[in-house]
Amino acid sequence: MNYFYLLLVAGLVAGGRLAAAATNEPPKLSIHSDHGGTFDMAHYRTIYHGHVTVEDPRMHLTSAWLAADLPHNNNPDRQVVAATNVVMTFIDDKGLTNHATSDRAVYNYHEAGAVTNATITLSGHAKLWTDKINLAGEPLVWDLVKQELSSTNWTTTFSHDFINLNSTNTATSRTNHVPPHP
Amino acid sequence: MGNVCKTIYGVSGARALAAGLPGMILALALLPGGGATWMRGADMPVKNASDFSSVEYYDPPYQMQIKSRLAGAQAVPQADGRVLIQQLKLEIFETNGRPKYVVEAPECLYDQIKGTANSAGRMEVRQADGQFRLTGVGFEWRQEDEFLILTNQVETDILTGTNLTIIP
Repeated sequence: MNYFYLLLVAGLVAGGRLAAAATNEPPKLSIHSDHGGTFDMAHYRTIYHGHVTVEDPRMHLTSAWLAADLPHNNNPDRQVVAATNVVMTFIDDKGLTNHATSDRAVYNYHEAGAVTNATITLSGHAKLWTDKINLAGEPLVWDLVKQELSSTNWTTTFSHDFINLNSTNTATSRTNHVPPHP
Repeated sequence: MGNVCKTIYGVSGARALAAGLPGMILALALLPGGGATWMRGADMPVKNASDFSSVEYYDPPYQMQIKSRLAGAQAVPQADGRVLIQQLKLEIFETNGRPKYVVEAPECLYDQIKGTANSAGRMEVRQADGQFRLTGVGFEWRQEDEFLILTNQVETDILTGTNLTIIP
């Protein structure tokens, strides 16, 4: 099933284990907003304002604004947009804590025939880091289908160690090369 | 419920149309022993009713399909013409008859003319198939465009299932 739009950040934990639920409750993702929001029931879209937090067993996200397409059976396409002071923390498959910040984060999932596109785009002071590596680019684009991380304008470098933190997140050498600084 | 729908709610056809609610039928199913009492609210006589439901149908070509069913444990007309509904349950359906949403609130004020419902209290929206649940405190619901505004403590739980995958 196409659950994935569920969160842009889940892409960042591609390959991550599903946390084994200690209870019998089904796994869920929770979005909370202190300041309210809107729900377009006809188009399955929610918008959250104020201090928005997103939680699931593997990640934590905060932003000032977030719009999400809620699941429905008629349309597999999904988009989640988090904007303003986007901060994400997630635990990868090896138990390593990863962080990401940006002004804006967009998850897009689109199906057209047999072709599936799924990306997460971080833009506006986008950064990804662990305790071992820092990465910045404008924008940073994670192709979830190709498992490639790319940017048209790297502002720092990263090592294979970073890309291979997660065994399923193997980037190709093409996307992992360091372009010359202008 | 299960009781005979006894009367039609006191909304004229013109008013219903003005409110964008063509096809709206508000029927009051009375509880055993609970009689409907006529009250005077503004210029519109309406009834204080228990255990009622209201059904709205889609416009053509789906005019045979129920668009929404509004039910409540009690409806108390207010002086301004609105109706205080207690134990609100609103069910919304797709044009193919499939249940879409279930909305519940302990109470709300329903404006027949504007086609809105609001409350300072808690409300909950569930997708009929259980994939998500949205709650909040303080809301306004616009019937015409199916738009819900939540003012505080908005919480959405989305079931991810045990087979969550990044790429389905």
